[in-house]
Amino acid sequence: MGHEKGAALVSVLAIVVISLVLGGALQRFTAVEATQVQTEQARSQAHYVARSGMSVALSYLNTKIDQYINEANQNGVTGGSLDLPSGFEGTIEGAGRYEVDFALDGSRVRITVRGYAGAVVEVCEAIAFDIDLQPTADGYVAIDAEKLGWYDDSAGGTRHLQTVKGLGGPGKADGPVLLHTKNGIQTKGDHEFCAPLLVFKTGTLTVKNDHRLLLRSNFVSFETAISIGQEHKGSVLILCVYDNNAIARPDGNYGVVYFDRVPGKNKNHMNPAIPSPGYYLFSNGTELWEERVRGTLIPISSEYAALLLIRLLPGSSHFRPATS
Amino acid sequence: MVKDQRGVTLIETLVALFVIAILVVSFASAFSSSLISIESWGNYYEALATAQNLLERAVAGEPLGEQDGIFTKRDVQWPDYVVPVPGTVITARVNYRTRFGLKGTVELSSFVAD
Repeated sequence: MGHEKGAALVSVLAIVVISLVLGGALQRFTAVEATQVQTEQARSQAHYVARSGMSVALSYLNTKIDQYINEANQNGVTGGSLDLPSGFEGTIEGAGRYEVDFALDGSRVRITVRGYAGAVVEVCEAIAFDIDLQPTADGYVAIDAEKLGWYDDSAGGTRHLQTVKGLGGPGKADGPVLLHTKNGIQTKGDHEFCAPLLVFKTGTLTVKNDHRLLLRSNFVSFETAISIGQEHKGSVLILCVYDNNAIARPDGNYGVVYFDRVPGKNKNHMNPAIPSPGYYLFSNGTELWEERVRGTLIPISSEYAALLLIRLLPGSSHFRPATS
Repeated sequence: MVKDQRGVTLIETLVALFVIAILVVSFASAFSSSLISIESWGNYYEALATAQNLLERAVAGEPLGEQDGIFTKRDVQWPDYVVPVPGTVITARVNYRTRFGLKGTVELSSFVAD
């Protein structure tokens, strides 16, 4: 009978305890959920504020690049670097604020943006973006010249360029073109190729006697040795600008050419117009032989070349989200 | 002894029922309130996701208007005093139902430079 007396009390106490635990847990769950929801919206808004800051930073950077290029073109400057501030701040009314940092690390500009939002609890979200200031063609999706039929054969080893006649006119492409082969590329008559960016990779580019090679491009990259036949035997390499996007200077339009190696027969007979490997502006219609140039070649810094490449070929992967 | 024990047990049971009744009433209110809150937060999350979706689409250039919940306003940001950056503030505004049938609004904004 003593058991009956205790059972009711214990049951009530157990129910009370269980109810308290459940009720407390539910209240706690609700409170946590409320905080999470508020934080989630603040985080989301902070992310969009950070993206706003990145949009401002990229636009700002583009304007600075334009200013730099225009001033360089007008004043004949061929080097220097972008004059970027360490950063700036901004506010999106009713949404939040952002902080932008520019960090120049070698040939890379890293933009870091922090976005802040939240009325009750301020939340910070950060995003980063890298811009390569190396004038490399690797940032572009280039078309293989073989797919355009710019070679006479598709076999390995030395390749012959397709003649103008064989192509039914100049070889043309709307995008960057990569010309590469295992051993080298040779002319086989007169040739003309047009593309916004032309990249010669691996082996040697040989312009044989009595052959003319005309390259119409805003940016030509010779990541190869160049061998040009003798001038008096009618061989020549001609560089022309591709279109109106070329670099406009007071004395005419220019393109950019990169020489990985200095052209010349040997080290005693180098081309005096190209004293060292690197980037040069070429005037429209520049003619090139191994030891002589008719036209204008102006050496420029790699950073300037990179900025020009970004302008000449927008939409490259030189702009990409930071990965580290 | 047996009679006493029975009487006490009866009283205890009545007290227990009374206590339980009070508990049930008070906790029912709390549970109900919590459940309503949870439903309300659910609506809020849904509205937030919708706002994010709308804003992403608007930032990407999809032609959305006020009827879709997208509001735009021209603005200029001033990174320094030489290079102003004009653009548009795009705001996604989505309504949702809070507890007790009230109306809440989720707003997300982003600036897109020209």
